[in-house]
Amino acid sequence: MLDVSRVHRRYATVHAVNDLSFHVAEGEIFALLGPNGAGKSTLLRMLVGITRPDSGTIGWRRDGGTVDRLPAGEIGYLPEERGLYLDQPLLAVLEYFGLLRGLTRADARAAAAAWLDRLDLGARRSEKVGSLSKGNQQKVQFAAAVLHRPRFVILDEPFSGLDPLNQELFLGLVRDLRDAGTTVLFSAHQMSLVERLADRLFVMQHGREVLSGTIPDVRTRWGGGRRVVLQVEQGDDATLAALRTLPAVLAVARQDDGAIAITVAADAPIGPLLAQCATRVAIVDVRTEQPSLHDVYITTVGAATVAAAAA
Amino acid sequence: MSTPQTRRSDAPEIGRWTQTRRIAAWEFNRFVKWRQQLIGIVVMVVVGMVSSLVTTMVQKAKSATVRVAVVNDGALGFALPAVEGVTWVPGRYADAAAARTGVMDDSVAGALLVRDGASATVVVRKRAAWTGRVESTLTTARRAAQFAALPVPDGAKAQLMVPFAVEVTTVTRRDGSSDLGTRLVAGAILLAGLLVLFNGFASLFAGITGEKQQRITEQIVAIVAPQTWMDGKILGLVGAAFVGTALFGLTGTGLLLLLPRLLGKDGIALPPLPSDVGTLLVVAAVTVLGVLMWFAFMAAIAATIDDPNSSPRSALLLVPMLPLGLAFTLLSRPDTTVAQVLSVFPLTSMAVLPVRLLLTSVPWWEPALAVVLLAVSAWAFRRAAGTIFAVGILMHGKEPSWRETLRWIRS
Repeated sequence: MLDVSRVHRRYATVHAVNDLSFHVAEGEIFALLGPNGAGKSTLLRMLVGITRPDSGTIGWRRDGGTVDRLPAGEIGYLPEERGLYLDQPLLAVLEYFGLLRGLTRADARAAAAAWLDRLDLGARRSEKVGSLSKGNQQKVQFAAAVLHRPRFVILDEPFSGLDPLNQELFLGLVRDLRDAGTTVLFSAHQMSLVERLADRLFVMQHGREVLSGTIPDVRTRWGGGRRVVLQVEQGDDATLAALRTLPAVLAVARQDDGAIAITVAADAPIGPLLAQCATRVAIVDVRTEQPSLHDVYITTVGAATVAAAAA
Repeated sequence: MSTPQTRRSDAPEIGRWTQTRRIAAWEFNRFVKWRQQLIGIVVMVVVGMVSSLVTTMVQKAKSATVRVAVVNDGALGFALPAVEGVTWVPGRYADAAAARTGVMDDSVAGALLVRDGASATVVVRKRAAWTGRVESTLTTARRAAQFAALPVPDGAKAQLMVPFAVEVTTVTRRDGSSDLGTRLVAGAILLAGLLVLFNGFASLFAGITGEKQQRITEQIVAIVAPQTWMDGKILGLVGAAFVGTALFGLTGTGLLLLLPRLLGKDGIALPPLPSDVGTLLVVAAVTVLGVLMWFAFMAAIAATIDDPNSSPRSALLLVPMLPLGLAFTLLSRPDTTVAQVLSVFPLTSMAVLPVRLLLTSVPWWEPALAVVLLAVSAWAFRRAAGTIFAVGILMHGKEPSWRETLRWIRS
């Protein structure tokens, strides 16, 4: 649905977005990750047409062809900069955004009322936005971005500033959007939420791509292997050294709780390894762990930062 | 719970004019607060009635009479004339020193110390309104005494006192008659335009800088083109300012017409209907175009302001005052070359051309040129403002320099 090809955007001496290319398929949830200043918001502003790339192309597939900007009624945008008309009633504000997106007045009002009910704010529809808590204002802003049921929605940091309960609420809202046929592209720093929500992710640093792919693919390619954690009766340094010599073992380390964490290649069979370990140490319990997205992010973005500093 | 279903986004794409109209309606409703307008009108009516009542009471009330001592009144050479609010007390004090003492201890409100038939000193502890009346009344009495003493027959004296009669009639119709209605309506249009201008600037600044401060701008420009947003804002805020001005204008006119009758005075006569439609159309055109041009100009300035509370650029609200002030200085000399140039110059024509149309003869090409130049300027300001707006509205925490702003316009 969206093709970004070799897009470049520069501000003064800073390459905010540097030769980026990626594709977002229709109906998927696509996560855009990266540290502060990586160029995510600059990229998102180009996608919604607020700014233009210096070079490269942004193409949206529509009606069998490709356009460089989606019509207002087909795209939704929740910017990182949060803000609403604080002196206006909730219903009126949402209705206004619906009207600007091309809804009729009746449709805009109906959609606004439905969203306020969905967000448990229906009883407060006549109150001014300024009377709401920050979290509730964020809910209203989310509704303003999606009440016209866009084909594609861009959410810049939708979870920032939300408590865990509201984070769960937003997770559900985004999934519902996807289930209703909307393609979602969002940026976030909460790796655990990204892991639960995204179909694919794209990590950028200093305006460039660091890694991309589906969550399992990313774990496999950049996770540095699976971990086998052994709860043992006793494991001295000599035991650890012996485990390091086993085939398929990439690394061995002792954890704070005394357990031994063995990193193995992602496709290595666990059975033979456990059998060999059992000959060297008394195993009380065993479990395997996938590398978390957090680990992958820290490893890859950290490496990119070191490389950039060295360059 | 599920996501609210409204429609799929396969409806026709929203047009630019539709967006402009919806933005204009939103801005209009944001800034026309009917309840506050109603309260303002009630306050205006109450203040108007109270001030009229007080004025009537003041006019009816007679000033308290003060006692003023007179020393050496025999030197005047004519009888002491009666002065409103003053009771003369001659002969109470023998000399000036005694009279001054009397004034100091408040035995009398003042003392008239006559030196001769042409001069005197008034001694008071505080300046009072009656002192002016004393001077003018004594002058008149002295002239009357000298005139009466002239060796001229009484009939000739009466003839000498008749003033020369001059009646001023302004001819505005081809048949030589006066069109007071056109002059009044044209003046009202110009006044309304100026009121709309100054009434709307505050809303314009609040509307644009407020959205920047509330961080709303990014959402809006993701939906509409900055030029569309600006066009909608200008139209909506001009409309809001017009409604506010019209409501207060109608209330004020109603008060002017009704209050005298309510207070038992003669009512103000209604002017005749205007007949010079051409002049009124020209005045209306330059007023509307002038308002739009200045709103576009001020919107562009507002788009570069980060914080209206601390920005020195807020003072630029006063810029339109300069050409308008200049126009008022030309009221006494509307037929000069400078006035003619300023009546077609776009920044001043809104104020100067109507003045010239009302006060002097204007060639046909002058209004035509003024309207064309003003329309072109309004369009150019709107376009430049849209460009500045597009870049400036997303700048937070700093204001662009004038050099940057000019670069944006050129680019």
